Amino acid sequence: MPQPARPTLRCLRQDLSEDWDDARQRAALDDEPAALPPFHKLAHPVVRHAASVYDGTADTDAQREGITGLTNPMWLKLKTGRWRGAVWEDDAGQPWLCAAGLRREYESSDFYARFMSDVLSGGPEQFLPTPADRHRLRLEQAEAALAAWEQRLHQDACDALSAAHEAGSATFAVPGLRDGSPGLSTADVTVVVLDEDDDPDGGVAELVVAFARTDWAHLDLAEHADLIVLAAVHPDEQSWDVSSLATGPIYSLVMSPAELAALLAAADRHGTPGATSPGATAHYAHRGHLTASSVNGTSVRGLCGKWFVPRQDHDSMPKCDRCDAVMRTMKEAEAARG
Amino acid sequence: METVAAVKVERSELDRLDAAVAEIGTQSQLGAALSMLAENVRNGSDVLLAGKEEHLTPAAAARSLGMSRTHLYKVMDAGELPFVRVGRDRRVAASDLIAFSHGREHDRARLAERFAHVAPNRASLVNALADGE
Repeated sequence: MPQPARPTLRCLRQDLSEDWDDARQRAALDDEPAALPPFHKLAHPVVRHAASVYDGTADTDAQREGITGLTNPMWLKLKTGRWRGAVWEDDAGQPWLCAAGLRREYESSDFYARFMSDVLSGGPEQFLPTPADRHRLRLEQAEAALAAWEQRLHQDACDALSAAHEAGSATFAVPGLRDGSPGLSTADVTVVVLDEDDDPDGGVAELVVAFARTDWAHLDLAEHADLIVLAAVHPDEQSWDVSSLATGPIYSLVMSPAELAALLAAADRHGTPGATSPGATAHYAHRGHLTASSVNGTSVRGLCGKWFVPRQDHDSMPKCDRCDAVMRTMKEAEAARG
Repeated sequence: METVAAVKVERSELDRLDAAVAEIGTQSQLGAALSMLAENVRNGSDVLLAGKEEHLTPAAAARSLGMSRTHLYKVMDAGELPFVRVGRDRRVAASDLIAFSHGREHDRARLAERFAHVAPNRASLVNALADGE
């Protein structure tokens, strides 16, 4: 499936020296191209125009005009304001903006005059997409496919939560990434309200989200899917508990029935898939463990029993009450021993 | 089986336990055990206390794990927590329960890491997908 016309890296770096709407994008091309949006969405007038004229569908043929005098391959003209461009379509129908420049009529620096002379003297290869361009295109397509899959999964999870809110339980399939690929897991959402016989402390409810793996060959993806579903239920990472079973993991939340009902009712199909927060309080943990953990990104157990990976500025957060209480008791005991 | 939730133990209770430990002395097995109980509670660790041969009902086992019976049955059905049948009912050995509870700590540690590393893990998925894997 072709994308709209996209500029090559060479065109972006060498030809588009001015007129950027966002100068940071121009700077990022040299420093950090991985962080840039899809290339057909870059903030430059000629890029925008190329993407709108050659949008990857075949019904724009009427607007096509070849650059006279160049036939193998054929180059398509692009005009917007002062800018001129040359577009080439690969065998898969993917249009590429391979060169661009400013119109300067009757001058040798006019874009078309210079482009034609460069192609005739040095050959067309210098302008065609390189392996790096093709790799970037594949990355962007993969990113778009994963994002679309995450969106669908997020919506399926929200629908299941609404159903579980009504009926007490719901089941849905976590789809594979490609059309026709096997489902990754079956997810079973169950709301359990413990009655007072079970729980002497009074009303507690548990939400159980059990995954039964159906495709063990794509475990990384299945585990990523788990987190998308958990985020759709409750974004607070530290409120989740887990048991890892041979059939797949079971995640659970324990809270009051009213809180749980509110949570299920609030499931937002339009929310951002996978958005979670690492917790609002700072935990105490053994200092030696913390250092190793910060360096390696491994998790550490707080005094309160919660596991976390230190990755926030803990000085700006309130202390965890439970950790704080344990810390005080330990200090007092130490002082009493002398 | 008893679950001692560290957070629910009062300071004054701990002081009295310390006094009892001092009186019995830690040379005594019982005194050493009580001392260990006090130490754990003081460090914020919950303590499970069970007879070696003791078996628990699913309700008691679920309560001590802080989960619903529905959740517990899923765990038993998956073979993760052994149980014996008593007629139509099930019983869980306290030692199996403690072993299972201990194993969950590893699962929790790993979940925290998966949440923390979601961005780089996602980037790896995109790369693998782009490379046609």
